[in-house]
Amino acid sequence: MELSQLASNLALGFGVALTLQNLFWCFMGAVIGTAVGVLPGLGPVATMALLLPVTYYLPPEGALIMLAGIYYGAQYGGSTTAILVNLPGESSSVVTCLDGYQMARQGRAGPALAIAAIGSFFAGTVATLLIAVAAPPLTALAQSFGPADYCSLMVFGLVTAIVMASGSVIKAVGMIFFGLLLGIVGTDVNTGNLRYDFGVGILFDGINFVPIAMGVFGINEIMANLTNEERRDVLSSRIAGLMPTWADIKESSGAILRGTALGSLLGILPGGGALLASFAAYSLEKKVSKTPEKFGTGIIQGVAGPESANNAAAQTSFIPMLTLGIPSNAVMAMMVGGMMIHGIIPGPQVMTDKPGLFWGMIASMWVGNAMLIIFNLPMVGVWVKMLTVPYRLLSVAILFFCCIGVYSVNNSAEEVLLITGFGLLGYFLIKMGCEPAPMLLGFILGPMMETYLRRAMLLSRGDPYVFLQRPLSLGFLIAAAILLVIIVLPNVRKVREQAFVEE
Amino acid sequence: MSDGAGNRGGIGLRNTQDLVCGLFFMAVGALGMWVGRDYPMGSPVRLGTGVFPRILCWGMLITGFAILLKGLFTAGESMGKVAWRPVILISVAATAFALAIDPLGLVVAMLVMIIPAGFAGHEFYPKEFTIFTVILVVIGVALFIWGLGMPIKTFPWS
Repeated sequence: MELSQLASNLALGFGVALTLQNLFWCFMGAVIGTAVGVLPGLGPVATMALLLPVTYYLPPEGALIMLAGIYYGAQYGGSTTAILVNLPGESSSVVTCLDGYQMARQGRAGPALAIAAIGSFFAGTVATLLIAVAAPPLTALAQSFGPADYCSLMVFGLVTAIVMASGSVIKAVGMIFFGLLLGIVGTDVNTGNLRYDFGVGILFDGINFVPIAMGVFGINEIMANLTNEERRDVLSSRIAGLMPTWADIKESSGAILRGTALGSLLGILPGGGALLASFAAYSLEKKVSKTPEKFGTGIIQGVAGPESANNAAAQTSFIPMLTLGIPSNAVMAMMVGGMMIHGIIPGPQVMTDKPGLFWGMIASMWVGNAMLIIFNLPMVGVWVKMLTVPYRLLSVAILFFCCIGVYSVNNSAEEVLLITGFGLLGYFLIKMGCEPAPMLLGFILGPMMETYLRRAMLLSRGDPYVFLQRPLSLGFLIAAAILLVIIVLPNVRKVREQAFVEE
Repeated sequence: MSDGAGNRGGIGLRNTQDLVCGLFFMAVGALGMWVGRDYPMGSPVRLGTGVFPRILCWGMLITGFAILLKGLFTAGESMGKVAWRPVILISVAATAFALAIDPLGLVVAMLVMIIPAGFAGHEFYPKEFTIFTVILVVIGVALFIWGLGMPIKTFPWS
């Protein structure tokens, strides 16, 4: 990859990202993202689902820039709540609570917040560059993929998603099958036959992405959150001395570097993302520290590492989606949904056909990160105020935006009924110990996988061995098989469980 | 959960989470098989409508069965209580909105949604709730009807 080409790509991107309109959408995304990141019980997935209908009214660049902003904005906001209230505003900030809140109790909330933001910004910058460097060669590689390779790649992606899912492995497998099955409801695009429509009119065209995402993530979250009593002890003391000392920066620089590297790597893997990255970074910091026993008592590396890692991962998880068109987690599935609303089929052709959109979105991530570090710290007071809105009222407002949002996509009241159904489904799935994220991935990949499977079989004249004869396809299948074997081995399973239960 | 019958020391039958999950997945797989029993299989070169669904339904049946076995023979978590109050009230609220929005317009639809949803939480304060309702309805009308110009009636008679 030549440097000059990288520069011209980025220049094109910044040209798009720095237009007044796109700056505005980037800002909106980052602010909304921070707000939902601050509020416990409203995650980026639900928010993106909520705003998908709105993006219909925006130009595609603005829509995707805003949606991306919500995801990384939420990573910034989540740390604020974790540090000040000892509640993870975002699931990826769970580990930040451990040392961040202790720092706040010692009157060092300011440095904790500042280091979290600086670490996130550094990680965001590195990750943006990484995307810009990695995207062109990966896209070139993807263009040599045949249908069989794509099909095997999706199998590999889904298997990785299973390995990375935080709950039971076998349930994640079942949820993926379930999602794939939901994905093929409606008219079969290749033959025109109807499948699983149950004679219901709105199912003829398949289940729309917005009601399923909003039901399973929005409505379901409201139901689950209202079950718990509210208890929020906002730290009442004033936050004095926002700026970290030179010693703070020196102590955390290693953690920021390690967190960025680890997070960037974990973000690229399918099924990975911000949550896993922050947990892994915390364990790593504990391992390399000379004083591991001090973790949990307000040590700055315990904030710097995970916060850098979750932001890095949030951004590098765009790589497989942008280059291969394959979403690696639920948030990326949302991004794919956002693209499809605008008639853009995600895949390697996006970079060549719509370079402005592609590079504009990448550049906007750096712009958004820069905005976040500038306005986030001074606005901490506002975010904390927001936490005083009781959830009993917030939930009603969220429910309203879910309903009207779904309605507005097709002016269809029937789709609002669907979100009730999917909300209930999501609630009982969680009761059964099933995570809904793999289902959403399966839902997005279902129709794609079937199409590639058919094409591969057609090209090979009905010979199923095509999947083993093409080297790329074979490679993906072998990798998937190895992963499956590994996950079944008892001691690996133990490590995986530990990674998610890091106290 | 009561101590289950049988002589597995009651471990197995306490694992209702896996038991129910396994049965649910198997039920989905079986339903998919049955509904899709007539979907044509096509030929290897031109795969028919029924191939992919059958693969997936077999997948559901097999994983469901494995989870069921796990639930029968290993310890695990129980399903836990369902919080019926928020589950029912939120479902009622969203359904009421869906049924009211076309015939009765936005304001009525919002009211029939907000009122059940407002009772879904643990606490309820009439004054706070009334003020909140008025504000939310005003925001709703201002944003979606005046702002975005959505083609919905404001009132039943408009």
